[in-house]
Amino acid sequence: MSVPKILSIDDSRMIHTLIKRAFSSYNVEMVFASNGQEGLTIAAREMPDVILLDVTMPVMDGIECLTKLKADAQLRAVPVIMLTAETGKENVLKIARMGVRDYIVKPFTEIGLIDRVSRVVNLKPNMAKIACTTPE
Amino acid sequence: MNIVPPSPPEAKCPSSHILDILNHCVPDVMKTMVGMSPLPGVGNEAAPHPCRLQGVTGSIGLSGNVAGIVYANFPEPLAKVVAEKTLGAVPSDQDIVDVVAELTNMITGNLKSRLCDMGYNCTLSIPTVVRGDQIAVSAKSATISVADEFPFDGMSDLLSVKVFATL
Repeated sequence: MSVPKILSIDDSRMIHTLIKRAFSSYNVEMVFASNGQEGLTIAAREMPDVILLDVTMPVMDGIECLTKLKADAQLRAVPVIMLTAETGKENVLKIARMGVRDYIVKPFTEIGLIDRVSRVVNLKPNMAKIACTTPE
Repeated sequence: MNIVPPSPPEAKCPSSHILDILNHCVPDVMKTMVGMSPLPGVGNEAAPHPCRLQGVTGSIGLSGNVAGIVYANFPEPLAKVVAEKTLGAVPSDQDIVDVVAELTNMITGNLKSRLCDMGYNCTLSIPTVVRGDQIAVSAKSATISVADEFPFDGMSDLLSVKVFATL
């Protein structure tokens, strides 16, 4: 049985580390990209089940990346969750109009992140990992 | 009968607004991402400049109706503790830079959102990070020069956020 594949597109290694840690107790496959352009290439190759997309990035920002994802016949149906520190009304409306599934406001908690992603993909706990971390 | 119209609400100066925003968003970012709650910030609405920065400093430019720059300065020992708590492992030099850049991004993103909601539309640059003990920053044409310093229990280092801007 295939596990959900999550693509995180963010220029921050810190965010990648936190996302990796948040999903370490779940059966998921994680793939990472450090800007929008790289994200598009990886998305086309990996066909993820959900994309976590940062807004402010070098090379290609999240808004341009999202526009290109939505214009791509193969990728437009992949649910996108935006991660952004910019919570202004105009910014949120602009993102909502572009067809994102959801958005997560930075700063975010691991629980909040898992909650949002679990609304899009079926997250199953990694029992082997949980067994390893259960105290005797 | 004389009807006295109500006086309009006293307009707050932008520096005071910026301090209010920082006093809310800096503790929120530090508590949520790092698990460290700073004590209430000590703000200065007319911070002197040039000012000296020691340690690891993230900076992000603002352009638009507000033009300026935001600095988030972490002295080296504080930067190391913050990176270690955030990542849950002993941080490399690059990890420390990454963490400071991202925390600066979150603080400035929140500040920007609140400023935009107040009508001061602006956009942000990509964060950059500098390290060193002899860095002086100045903003000669800035009409806003705000500094907010956040102590942490049991630590002598302060997290210092400075905003130099022109409206």
